[in-house]
Amino acid sequence: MAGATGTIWVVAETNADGSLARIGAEVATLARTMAKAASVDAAGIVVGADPGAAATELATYLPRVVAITDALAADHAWAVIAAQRAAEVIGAKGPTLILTGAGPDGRDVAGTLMALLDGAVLVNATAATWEDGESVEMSVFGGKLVTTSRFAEAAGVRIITLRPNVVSAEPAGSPGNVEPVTPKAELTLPVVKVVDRIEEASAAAPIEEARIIVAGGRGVGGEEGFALVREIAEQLGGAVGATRAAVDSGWIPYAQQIGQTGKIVKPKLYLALGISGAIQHKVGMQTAETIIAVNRDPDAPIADFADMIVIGDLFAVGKALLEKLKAR
Amino acid sequence: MAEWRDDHPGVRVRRISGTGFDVLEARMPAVIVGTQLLGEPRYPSLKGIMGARSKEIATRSLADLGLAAESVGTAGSRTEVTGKRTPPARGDAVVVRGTADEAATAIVGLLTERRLI
Repeated sequence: MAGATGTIWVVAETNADGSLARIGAEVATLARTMAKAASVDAAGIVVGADPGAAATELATYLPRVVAITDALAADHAWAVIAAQRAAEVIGAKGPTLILTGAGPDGRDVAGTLMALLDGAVLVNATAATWEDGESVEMSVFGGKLVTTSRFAEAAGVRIITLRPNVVSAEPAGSPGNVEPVTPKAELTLPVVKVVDRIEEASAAAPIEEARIIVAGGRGVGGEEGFALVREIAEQLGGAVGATRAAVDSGWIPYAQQIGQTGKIVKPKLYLALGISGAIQHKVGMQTAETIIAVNRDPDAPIADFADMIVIGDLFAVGKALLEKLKAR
Repeated sequence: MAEWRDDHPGVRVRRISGTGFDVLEARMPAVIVGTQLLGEPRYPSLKGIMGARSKEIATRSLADLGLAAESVGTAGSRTEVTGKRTPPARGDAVVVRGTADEAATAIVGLLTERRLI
């Protein structure tokens, strides 16, 4: 079946400091791959109060980037503004494919674009390819099933949101052009004011990018218990993760939460301490290359998808592990 | 977190950001999409469950809503699922029992074997 023609667009997300979000680079890499297979162009859109830095970065992945300056984006919710500005650039002239990340901002942009351009959307893709049209894989029922979907013939504007950490970002051979745009039209949708931004992440590298994650769950027992988790992470040169139970108990900030309502990670090593492996947590970490669990309960669900499960007290095992790591 | 404030003409929401939270203020009408972080559900009491039995549940037809049959359901869907498969299962986990020291040795062994340390 025929899919998008013309251009495959990326609406890229940015970090708080104005740099390109990692998911933006991943989505751009996917767009380039799909555009090549479809023999169409790939282009990116960055919307921000100061989009220059992210646009330049995005242009290392795409041949063409439109940098749209909208001062309102400085202190208003990004997605409503970005979706309208992107829609002005994209228009709705025949079938078009738009890609964005499946994070909080990307989801909002996808929903707003769908309404503005009367589009169709496939969310949370774990893979997307071009095979005589878009073919989109999604992981459903907590990873128990992988579905393949496509857009119906009647779908004009097609939108796909891509999960973080399923595509490796790879720059193109040569950087593309950045076209600065300052829109004149007023926004038609109401904007939402940001009255405060609260930083919670630790100074360490973002958890989505960590090669090694040491994570704690309910079994860690408290804030003091996380000191051991942190120490082991430090020894391994990794980041600290947590389950929702640990976050809800106030032992560790939400930015560290892994799972359905937290981050989705794909580290080389996931060391799970006192984590039962409930499905809501599993969906956030099951694609880790190596999973080692330490748990008292041999029947914990995590035993079904770990490479190694150590049955025992996480504090005793954790301390012994720490000693051995330090002794190396 | 979402709250209504009398001193403000709308709603105040805490929204997840990449590094923490943003606090947003929107005028009404507004649509708010919640996550599980919104709070613990308040489960119905037995009295509430019994009371629910006698309540009328209204049914609306497509015509009542002014919708054409071909605009909803499978016929109206702009996407379709063309296939499904079960992802390959991971191999069985190695189960380690024993003293803390033996367990730690086993972990370090696997980390070394897989060049993670």
